[in-house]
Amino acid sequence: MKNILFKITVLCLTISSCSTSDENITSSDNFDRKLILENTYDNIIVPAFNDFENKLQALENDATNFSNNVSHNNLENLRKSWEDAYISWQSVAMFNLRKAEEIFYADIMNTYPCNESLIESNIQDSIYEITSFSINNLGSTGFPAFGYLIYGLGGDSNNVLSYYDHVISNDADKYKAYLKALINNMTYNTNQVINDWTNNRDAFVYSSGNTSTSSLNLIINDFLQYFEKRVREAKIATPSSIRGDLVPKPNQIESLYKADINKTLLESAFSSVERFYYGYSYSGLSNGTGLEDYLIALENTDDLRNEIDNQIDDVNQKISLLDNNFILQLENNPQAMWDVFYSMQNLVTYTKSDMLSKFNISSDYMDNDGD
Amino acid sequence: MKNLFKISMLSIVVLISSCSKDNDPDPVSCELTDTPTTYAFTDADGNNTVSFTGQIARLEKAKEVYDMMNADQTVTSADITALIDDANSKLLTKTAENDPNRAAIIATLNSVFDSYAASSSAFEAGIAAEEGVAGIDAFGYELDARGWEADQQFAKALIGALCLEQNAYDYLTKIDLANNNVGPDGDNAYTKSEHYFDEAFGYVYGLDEDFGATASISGDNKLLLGKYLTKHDGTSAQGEDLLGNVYNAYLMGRQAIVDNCEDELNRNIEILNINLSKVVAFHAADYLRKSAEGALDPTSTFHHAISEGWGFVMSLQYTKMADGMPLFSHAEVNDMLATLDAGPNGAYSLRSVDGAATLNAMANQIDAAVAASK
Repeated sequence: MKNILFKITVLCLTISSCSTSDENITSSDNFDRKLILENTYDNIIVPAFNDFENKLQALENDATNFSNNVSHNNLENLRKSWEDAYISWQSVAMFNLRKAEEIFYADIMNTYPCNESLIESNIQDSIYEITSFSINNLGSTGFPAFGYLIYGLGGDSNNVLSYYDHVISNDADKYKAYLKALINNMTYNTNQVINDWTNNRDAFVYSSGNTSTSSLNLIINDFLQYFEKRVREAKIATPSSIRGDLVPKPNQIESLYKADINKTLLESAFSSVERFYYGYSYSGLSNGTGLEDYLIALENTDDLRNEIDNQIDDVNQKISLLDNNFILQLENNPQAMWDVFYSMQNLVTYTKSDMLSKFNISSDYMDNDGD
Repeated sequence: MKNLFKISMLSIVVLISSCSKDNDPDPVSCELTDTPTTYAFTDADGNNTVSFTGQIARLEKAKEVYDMMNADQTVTSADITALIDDANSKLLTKTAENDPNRAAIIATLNSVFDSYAASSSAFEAGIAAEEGVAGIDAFGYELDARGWEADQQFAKALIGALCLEQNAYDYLTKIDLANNNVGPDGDNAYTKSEHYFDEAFGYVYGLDEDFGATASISGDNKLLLGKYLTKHDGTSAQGEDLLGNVYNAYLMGRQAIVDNCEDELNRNIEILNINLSKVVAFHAADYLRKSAEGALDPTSTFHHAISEGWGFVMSLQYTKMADGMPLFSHAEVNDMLATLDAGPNGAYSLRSVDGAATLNAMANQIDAAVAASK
């Protein structure tokens, strides 16, 4: 036992003395990693945020119109804008680095399920502005809270209008104020993130080395973490209870009060995963440099690329079998959700283990070491 | 006052020795006669000269105190003090032994014990922890009303106040080859210089399964500095091979005493000080960053991590870099600890976007201090 330990130590010493001798660890391959960053920035991040900004602006306009003139039509317009913005959000959610990470952008925008009682108490407290954000605000902001306000109030989407109607409700102004607080908070944080991206193209694109803080390592880790935690776990594993008692938990789905858009949200999220991997532009019109191209540039990656291609197809096929409405899906056939989970699980293995080791990049979100 | 005097005397010794390097080439600069690969040394008759039983007892005592603060049982502050103030283990007297601010440091540790004792009946009753209420959190950790976990604060503070302090500011400063390395120390096989060095070694390897026969530190009992040093074997994301550097410096430093090579000894002592200090700095920054990352995540063990961070920050004042100075002074460390507990609800108040920014800024400050110390 001792001998083995000692040998291992000696081995470690030898290896590390080689790899740590150079402060500026560069990748050993000849692939220009900057190409991925340029393509991702110019053709994905910027247009995706542009689109999202426009959708959010429309949501804000429709919220104002609705507040000024509470009508069935205006509520329907508001609901449509919310849905469009929510779908668009799925394409920017992945880029949870830089400013977005610093301000907990994804948590503010899309923590679900929302906390109904917290939202109600905020409304009763006449909160009209969300300034600072802490764990105590979690679940009271962003798309899920907004969904509650336009579909979920009173547990009956047909009755939502009455909450904003001065004739029927004494609290109409409070509900309007909170609606406004939500959209302002979403816009404020989105603007911060967009400003950071706009002003820091060079800092992002030219940080192409292989260290734990270089752009490519961060964004690849974010990509994997997004896919694993925010797509596979949050959208599939948790509501389908695959890791628990297998009793579906429909109250954990992403869009609880408008359940028939969940498949669309999932498709949009998985598209953003594919887009980054292949290097497709946000418009879908061009195919630039992505992770796939990096793999192509390396030796002995044909099998892995085939496996990833096939697995992506398989995930898409499994998703296509789902009902638009995840509450119905979970009630009628949770197995189809579990199938999506297992297919995604395989893709995680190919990307997080096999692909990362080809890139010689270490994962920065290993599970806690328990001390 | 006495302590202050000791410190200034010590620094004079250091000054003298560093001057003598340049002027007096004879006894100081020599070559090692052996390059040992394991921490085993004997005298000319083959008797073992390595001994650090006191350190083993002290580290085991620290583990007992840690376990007491983990037992979900009602205890008084006096119970903890009685356990820690053990004449045999001398854990209390050795903690921050040479520090001019020892009284303040012991008072801070005592306040951690007091807080634990005050909350311990809630732990025993199994009350659920929440903001403003002491109890057990969802992960089984014992939190006081401000969200601090006392056993982690204590253990991680001891990494600096005991293990590192006894290395960098005690035993490794008082080895006097000219006067205390000539013959056996009393009835022992070792010289006084050898024993001092072994005692320093013992503060890192005392709870190791094979007591330092190999570089890595293993076994269920490992706690404190050795536990964290062994994570830095250069193969993981944790960067440099601090473990290899430290183990090698202990081996070569000890051999330097055997060979009476002062230059070699001093060179290795500096390696030990810097590398052990980097372990503490790494985990201070790392736990602050992990806490920031999990600040808004209800499924993260935030309070456990930030309590570890608190202890490692406390330990920063015992670091010793190439210039012989700590990365952060006692006053600077106190400011950092005050910042961590500044919110109306202590650690709970850090679970916000602003709190996370504070934690990340502090982590960056620590990293910057390490980078600047090179």
